[in-house]
Amino acid sequence: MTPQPLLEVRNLSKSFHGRRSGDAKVMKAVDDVSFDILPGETFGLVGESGCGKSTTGRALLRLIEPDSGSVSFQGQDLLKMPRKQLHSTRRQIQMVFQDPYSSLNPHRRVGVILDEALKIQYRLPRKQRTERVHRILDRVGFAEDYYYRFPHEMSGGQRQRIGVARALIVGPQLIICDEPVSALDVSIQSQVLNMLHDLQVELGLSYLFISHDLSVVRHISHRIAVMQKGRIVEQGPTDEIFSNPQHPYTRQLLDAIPASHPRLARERRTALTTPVS
Amino acid sequence: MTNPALLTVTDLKTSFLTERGPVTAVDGVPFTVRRGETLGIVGESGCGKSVTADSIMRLLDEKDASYSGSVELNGRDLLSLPETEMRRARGSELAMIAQDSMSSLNPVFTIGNQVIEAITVHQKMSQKDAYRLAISLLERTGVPEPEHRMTQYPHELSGGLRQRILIAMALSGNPKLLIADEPTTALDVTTQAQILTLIRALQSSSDMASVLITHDLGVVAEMCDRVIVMYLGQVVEEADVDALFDSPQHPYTRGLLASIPEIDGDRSQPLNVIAGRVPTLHDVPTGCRFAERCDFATDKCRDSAPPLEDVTLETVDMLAGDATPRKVRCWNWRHIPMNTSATTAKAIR
Ligand SMILES: Nc1ncnc2c1ncn2[C@@H]1O[C@H](COP(=O)(O)OP(=O)(O)OP(=O)(O)O)[C@@H](O)[C@H]1O
Ligand code: SF4
Ligand SMILES: [Mg+2]
Repeated sequence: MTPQPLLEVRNLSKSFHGRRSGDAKVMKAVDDVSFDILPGETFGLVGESGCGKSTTGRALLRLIEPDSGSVSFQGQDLLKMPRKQLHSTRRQIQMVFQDPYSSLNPHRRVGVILDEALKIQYRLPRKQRTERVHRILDRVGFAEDYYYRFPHEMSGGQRQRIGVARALIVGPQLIICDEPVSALDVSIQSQVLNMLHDLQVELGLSYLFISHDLSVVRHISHRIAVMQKGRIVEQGPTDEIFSNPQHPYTRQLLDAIPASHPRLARERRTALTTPVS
Repeated sequence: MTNPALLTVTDLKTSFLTERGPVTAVDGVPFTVRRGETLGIVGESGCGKSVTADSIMRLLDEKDASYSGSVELNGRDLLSLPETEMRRARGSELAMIAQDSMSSLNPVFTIGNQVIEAITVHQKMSQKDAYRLAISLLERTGVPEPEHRMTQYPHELSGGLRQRILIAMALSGNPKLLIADEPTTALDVTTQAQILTLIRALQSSSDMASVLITHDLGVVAEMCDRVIVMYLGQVVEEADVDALFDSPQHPYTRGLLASIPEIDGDRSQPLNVIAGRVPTLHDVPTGCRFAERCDFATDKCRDSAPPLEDVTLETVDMLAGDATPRKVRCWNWRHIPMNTSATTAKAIR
């Protein structure tokens, strides 16, 4: 028996209208999107720029109000929920954004940034909050003195880990990660990916992992959905999608990924130029 | 069948005056590009790839940037050319697609205006001839409906088309060397594949050499013949592309290769992490610049800086069928076990 999904998205749609009033042009940014995320699972959402993957992530949390569909989290429809109740649900669903440079307040020390995130969600005495901030810093691999650092005193990967700590501190079950490593160099990207994986194993977290980078998505996801022009064209277990893609667009994406070794690149080029008999 | 050298960069140093004192962003870089060859420059953000390119083109503001060393193109040192001659060389002998060039197309002029201007800057010809040449350049770079595109404005075109137009402009003077600084970084993966195929086709139909700057080792694997790896302003390794992927020698190169999630890699293994961070140019270590982050660092490494050494790797190179020389900047490369890079096992399969 498959476990009960943590999140069930059904027929989610969101259109944007042309900027001028009376503009007949309607852009279906998210078009009839459905998927589930299981507890402890990473669900990857891949596609090229403008395909609607970020809008999907935001619409789930109603950071952008969707037009129709349902988003059920632990059996409750987030789209029907009064705003006030939604606020407390956000304890359980957090977001991590792409840009570790702009998503942290540059004038606040790291400890204060984390404390503020906690204060929004819980009424806790100061001492308890501070304790929790220290615990979370430790959990994402920082020494104690990082409490007093400013974001600009840290590397991109360190800032992104603080972004993850800020999401974690309120104790979520699901984290929506929107291109969390795209701005990072590879050696630093790997720090963040490894950490997300370890936290998942340890805490049973679920992730919606949104990215344009197929290799990264493949590495971290249990299941994947491929999006094109607002629609999910294919979804399934990661290994199946990569070894046996069904949709032509998925194949096109996979074929475009640069080879991991020059020899493989040459083989592929020869294969493409030799006519099939 | 090694071609003669087209570009020889020797001990290139580029320094900037900054508020916090002088910094040397490129510190003694050597490399050679042969006719028809593609040299890759890889390394992480801030390692000096763009400054190297801008120095070769002499595009930096010489009020606060200074160069030393030499950059010989066909035997002529570009660094000592008077600006008027350098201007002539740019575009006709060597051309560049800059890192942020997608936004460098002027939004208020048509594509036609800009392509024609790029042509007439370097070549004396009538507007009519320039128009004809512009059309043929756009055709060569795979721009559909070139006549119509000439009348359009940059914002009306997709990123991939804009990049094709920039390549057309760079090619307008038939340069012998094209420097492309992250030409596909801002593009989607399918568009990137098309642009890389285009650059490859353009090169094979002429003997144009290129320097391809990228932080993406996949792009290197697809495009390059030789590669230099940079770290904090210096070259730490140089090798033929196969040799680099088969048997990376420098601990930084190994770490970099092992950090990438590969599309056919083992998903159950954690990725490699290079601990710590790159030092800033204001506090460059006295010893090896990578020592703080290196698993193989010894006291010697922390005390004195290793030179970029010519090495031959008999055993490994025979396996990889590689006879060309390579270079490594590391005291201990001989003693580092080969299987410390994840990519190695696969490549020697
Ligand atoms: N005009 C300048 N004045 C002072 N420092 C500079 C200047 N231009 C570049 N630098 C410094 O030189 C170093 C190398 O920069 P460069 O732009 O070459 O990096 P890069 O390898 O191209 O990185 P990226 O991958 O991010 O493009 C950096 O530390 C940068 O801050
Ligand atoms: S010289 Fe020493 S510290 Fe530097 S890369 Fe080699 S082993 Fe590491
Ligand atoms: Mg650069």
